Amino acid sequence: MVSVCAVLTACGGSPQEREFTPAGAVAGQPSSGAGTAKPPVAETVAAGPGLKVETEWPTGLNASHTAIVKAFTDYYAGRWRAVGSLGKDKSYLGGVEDAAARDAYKWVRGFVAGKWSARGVAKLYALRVASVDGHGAQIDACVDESGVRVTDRSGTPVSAQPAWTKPPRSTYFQVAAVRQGDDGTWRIMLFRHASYPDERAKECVR
Amino acid sequence: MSTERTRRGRLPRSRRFLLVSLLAGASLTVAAAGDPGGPQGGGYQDGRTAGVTLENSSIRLSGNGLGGSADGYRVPRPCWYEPGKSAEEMLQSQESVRAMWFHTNPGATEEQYEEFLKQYKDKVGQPGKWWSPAYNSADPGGMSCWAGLEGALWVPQGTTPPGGITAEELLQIARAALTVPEPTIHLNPDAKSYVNLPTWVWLDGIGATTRSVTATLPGVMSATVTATLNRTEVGSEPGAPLAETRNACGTTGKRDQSGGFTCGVKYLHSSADPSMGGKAYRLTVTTVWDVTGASTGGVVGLAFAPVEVTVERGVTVGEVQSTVRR
Repeated sequence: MVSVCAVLTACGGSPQEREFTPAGAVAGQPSSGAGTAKPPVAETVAAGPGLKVETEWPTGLNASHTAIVKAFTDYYAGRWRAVGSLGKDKSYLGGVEDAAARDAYKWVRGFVAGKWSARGVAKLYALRVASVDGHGAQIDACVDESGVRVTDRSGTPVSAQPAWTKPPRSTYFQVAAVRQGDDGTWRIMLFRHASYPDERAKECVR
Repeated sequence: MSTERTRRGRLPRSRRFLLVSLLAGASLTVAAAGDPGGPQGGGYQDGRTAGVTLENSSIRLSGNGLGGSADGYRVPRPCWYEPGKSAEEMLQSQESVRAMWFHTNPGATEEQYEEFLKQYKDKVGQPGKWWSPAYNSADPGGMSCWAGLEGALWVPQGTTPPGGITAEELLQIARAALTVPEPTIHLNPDAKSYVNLPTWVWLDGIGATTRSVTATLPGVMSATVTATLNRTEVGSEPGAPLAETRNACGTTGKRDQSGGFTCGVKYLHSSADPSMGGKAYRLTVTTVWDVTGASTGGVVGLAFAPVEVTVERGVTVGEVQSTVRR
């Protein structure tokens, strides 16, 4: 189930030299103007019982950049579906390769092996195609997982919630390297991140 | 015999595991202890504007030109292929991550796994190496450049694949890693200068006036870039007609100019002069380093643009007040 609504809030500015635009933009692609820029569009996807992923889509993406961003958003929703389905949904593995496949598997495995699940809302925003080089690209994103609670399999929150569910560490900067395969599909090859107190993570805080 | 690739991107699922072993070795450990979830992947390097931080590379950097602030030099291409494992080593490494391969290829059959291994088995006994992609993560375009490369290439002995690192690229990496020190300005007089009084300039904190960085691809080649301090230049803002500069400063200026004023500034107006708008003079000192580079055996030599480091400080200039008595 997908619902779409406009998001009226936007992030503050960021250092110009890095072209980082938390409100969501594409590097090197000027928006239609600061005064007339359209707000990102939020898309909410169910990822399991009581678990949702909310993605703020930047506006003004061309088809190529849309496909690049979608590679990341699909994966991000897919990994939470894997958690919400207690590991049964493995579709997230279709969007990752190489080192990213290992990281993704281990990430989901961390929940499944501990007999944990999750409830709440995970938010993805400030999505940006940082650079494109032939069949390779880098995506930057902000993640807010303060609305997620780790639960047992029945959905009851565990008493000792991980640090990443609580501010300030619940908001972080996520980077993904993606590659376009011979079939034209973009898949994630590598993950990198910056957590609080890194400046990149602080810039993601709203 | 031509270069062959193990492709990334949309492949038979049986080929999609290549870099797990390249990057993580034979580790099959699954994190089952501790908290689940959280950010994914290693740490992201911030402040990426230039300099060199090598990822997935066996290149080693050494020399007294490392460790300072990067000057913004960027290599023409921030990703490349490097020679890596032999056919036997690669096969062994892929076989060692068999369990993870099946984890990340759910539903795959033993037959598909054998098909995946075949590309490595086929090379056993052949002279050559698997080349893998590496990149400079200090370059803003490094990661996307790397992602666009193939997972690995089989390269027959004695050849270099398209995109394979060259002596010139190694030289460029050494150049991007090269840093020179930022000097500390010394003046005499120091706290305040006076109209028509020569202000001598010299530098401290330079240390060695020759700085070098060597980039080595072990067993293959190396390249060294050397920066040599050529001269120091003094400037003043504003300059003439409010100030005169002397630029026979040698490499690090002149501490003692009692024999003749050659390096520094002579201010001709007070900084309280209305034409200064109440501001101090801005004295700049620029060190100019000539940069040259050569690869092993001088196969490739390059002359780079000089590195210039400018530091500045404000100088307040007063007038010497005299009282004439009759």
